[in-house]
Amino acid sequence: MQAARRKGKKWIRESPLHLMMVPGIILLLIFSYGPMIGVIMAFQRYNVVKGFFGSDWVGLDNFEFILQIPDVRQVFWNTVFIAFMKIVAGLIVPVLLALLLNELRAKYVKRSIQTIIYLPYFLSWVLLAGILIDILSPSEGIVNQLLSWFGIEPIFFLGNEDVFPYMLVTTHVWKEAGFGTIIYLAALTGIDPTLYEAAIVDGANRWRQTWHVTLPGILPIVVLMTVLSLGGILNAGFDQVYNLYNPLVYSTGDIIDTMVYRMGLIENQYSLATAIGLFKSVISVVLIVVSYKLADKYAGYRVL
Amino acid sequence: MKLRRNARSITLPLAALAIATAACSTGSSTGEEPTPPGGASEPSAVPASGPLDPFEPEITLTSVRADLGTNYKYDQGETIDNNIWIQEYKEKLGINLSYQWVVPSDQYQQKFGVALASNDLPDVLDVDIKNLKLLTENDVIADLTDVYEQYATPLTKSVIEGDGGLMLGTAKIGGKLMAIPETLSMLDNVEMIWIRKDWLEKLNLPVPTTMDELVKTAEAFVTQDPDGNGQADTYGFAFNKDAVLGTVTGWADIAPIFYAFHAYPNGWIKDDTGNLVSGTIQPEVKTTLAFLNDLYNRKMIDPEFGVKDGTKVAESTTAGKIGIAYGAMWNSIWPLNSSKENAEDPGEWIPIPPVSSDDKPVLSLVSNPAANYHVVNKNFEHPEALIKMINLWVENTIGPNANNDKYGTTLEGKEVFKMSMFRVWKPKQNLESFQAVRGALEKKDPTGLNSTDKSNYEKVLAYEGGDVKSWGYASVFGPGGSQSILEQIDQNNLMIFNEFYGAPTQSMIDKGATLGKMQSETFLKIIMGKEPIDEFDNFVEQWKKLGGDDITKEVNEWYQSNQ
Repeated sequence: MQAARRKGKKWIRESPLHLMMVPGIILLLIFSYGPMIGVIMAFQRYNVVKGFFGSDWVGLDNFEFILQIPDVRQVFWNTVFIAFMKIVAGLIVPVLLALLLNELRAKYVKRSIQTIIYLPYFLSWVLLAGILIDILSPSEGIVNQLLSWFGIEPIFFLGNEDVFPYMLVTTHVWKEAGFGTIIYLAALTGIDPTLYEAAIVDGANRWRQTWHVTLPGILPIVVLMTVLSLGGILNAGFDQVYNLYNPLVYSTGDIIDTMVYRMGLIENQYSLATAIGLFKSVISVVLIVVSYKLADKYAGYRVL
Repeated sequence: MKLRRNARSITLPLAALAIATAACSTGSSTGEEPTPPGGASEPSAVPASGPLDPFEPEITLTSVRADLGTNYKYDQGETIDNNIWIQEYKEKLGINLSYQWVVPSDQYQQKFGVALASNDLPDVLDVDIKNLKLLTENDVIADLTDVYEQYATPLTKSVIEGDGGLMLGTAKIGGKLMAIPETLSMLDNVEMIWIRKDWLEKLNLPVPTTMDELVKTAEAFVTQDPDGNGQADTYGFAFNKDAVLGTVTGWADIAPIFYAFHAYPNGWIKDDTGNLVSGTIQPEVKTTLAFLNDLYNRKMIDPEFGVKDGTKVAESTTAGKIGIAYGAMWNSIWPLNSSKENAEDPGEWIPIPPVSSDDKPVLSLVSNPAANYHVVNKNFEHPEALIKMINLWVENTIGPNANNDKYGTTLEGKEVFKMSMFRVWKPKQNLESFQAVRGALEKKDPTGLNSTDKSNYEKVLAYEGGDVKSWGYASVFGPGGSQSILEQIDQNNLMIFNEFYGAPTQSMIDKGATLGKMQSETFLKIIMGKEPIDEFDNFVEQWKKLGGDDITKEVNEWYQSNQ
């Protein structure tokens, strides 16, 4: 009785807050949940004129069709492989950069380096692709000129199917690392300085301090970033691949998104695009849930 | 698939042609006005109203359209909803045209999809061939067979059917005329060779007339240091990576080399039995690939061409690294003008006719160039309004009393024609402009030229007077310009038609992307020597198995029903 009344009071006290959420929830319903009705297109042979209700139901035909595309396995594997490497490299490199930058004492050096590595993040892949084709060119590119000083034969980075996926990962990290670094640098400032003082008292050197204080200090953020990025395991980066790939590297560079794009160009295949989108979303949700559970179990990380 | 690819590949030429069209397409030339045999006022089969009579009472007509781009300069008080063409429709035809929406052209398809899904289509509009098929199958648009017969003036018909009715045929579905295509010039898509005359002269070489000579020239361009910088840094041919399929992209193409060997990849051609076969899998294609592989091995092609798109190739060409490029008639307007204007190394480019690998002439593959189809909503009670508006367009820009300065392109270059809702073009307008300019140059007298021909004439004179900026147009319309090459091709009828011009078939939609990927992968790898030439046989087998046979069957079914 008492508890119930207290609960009621709490409800009344907090009601303005709940009311404030209403517009946001309505927008969310309209723009995020409403369009989900469109998912039924994945099970139809969708005809724009007939609409959702008039189009023919085809059950799982669209999914079967996707699995029947001759090179779909290869494309699927490329996607997962490229995306996985990007996720791993995209975690390690920014953390390392943040740790190194954190060790710098001269503030303006730190700031300038931070700004410089953050710059490529703002460039579009269309632009970067043009630059990369030039600097990676085997005949006149600066990278191959550097390699030739060490007696290495020129490598056709963008035309060699063995090298291409790693080029994608490298250029992705080069472009995106600056953003992650800033997040981790912010996390680093949140570490209680007394912990370092205590570690020094205990005789810990810089390496020990990093290992026992800094890394555990930013671990929750690292785990959060991992969980979030795992949702993108099937997003290998359309913009980047589309602007850099060519028929020579189709065997290792073609990903789900670029395949769908080429199919979509030929005809507005709404059903097919929706089926693939749904397929990607389902896998992403599963991965996020699993990684969240794992993060909870092994790192004690949970949001709710 | 084939047709879509072609349609896409000509967007670049079309974009560039927007410039050229501005200058040339609206021209009606001296003389050649087709005089209607019976005259427009033939009294037989009296229609409810004449082809150019106004509606009484006035009618309201809704439409939708893409805007004219952010660079379009309107006059004071002029808008897309209120301009000379809107006034013309009202005054001359009693049609109050109003737009339900006007969006940037890249959003048109999307907006159209929404309008279609919400059953909110206007009375008249423009669609592409794919949507024409969709709208027809779903019974949304009107059959125009009768209104076209009844209302189109003889002059209009002569413009639309100036190619013998080929393009109009693309709008016939099941024998019914479902749309009026925005007819364009097929001839202007035929590609030629652009070659650096200054390099030829420097190395004392003749203008090549056979493929053998062309290869020898290319070899000289590679080995004999035509730019005189003491480095082996020049290539023979300009190729872009999107051209590897053998499609026509308009610049730095491979397609004409296939044609030189009588191979027509991506085209549908008649075989001995009268059936259509895919040009992609014919043995001549293999011969051409072997030839290209040889060129590649002899370093006549940029070893990195596989990663370079047209813009990238244009960069190296205008920087003086390449001396031969296959491309469209407008290449002098883009990108070769930059080479010409390059002060350090001005490239003296000339167009020459495509060369053959043997004693048979080169036939260029031409596909349906129409990208826009004018359609009428089935529920609209005056389908003849569309035909009347097209009649008015023809009357104002092509007919004997045409005034291009007012309705087409002004002398200052303002593209008034873009504000017209519906347009059709004569199949050889640029060629006719070239001929008119030639006549005026011979007489040294521009009187009688219409505004666009006159502007071309003045550009030729300006270039001859030393204005290098006018070189682009002068190389199209001037003596020895690219139109003179097309004139020869037209006179000798050196073209072969892509016999399939319908909307993509179901198998093309389902399998096209897979087959296209396989094709570009195989072609590129054979050219670059990463796969043996015999890999082509394997490709043909796979192509047939993975959907090519189905597509061939459907294309032939379509062909039979459109005979």
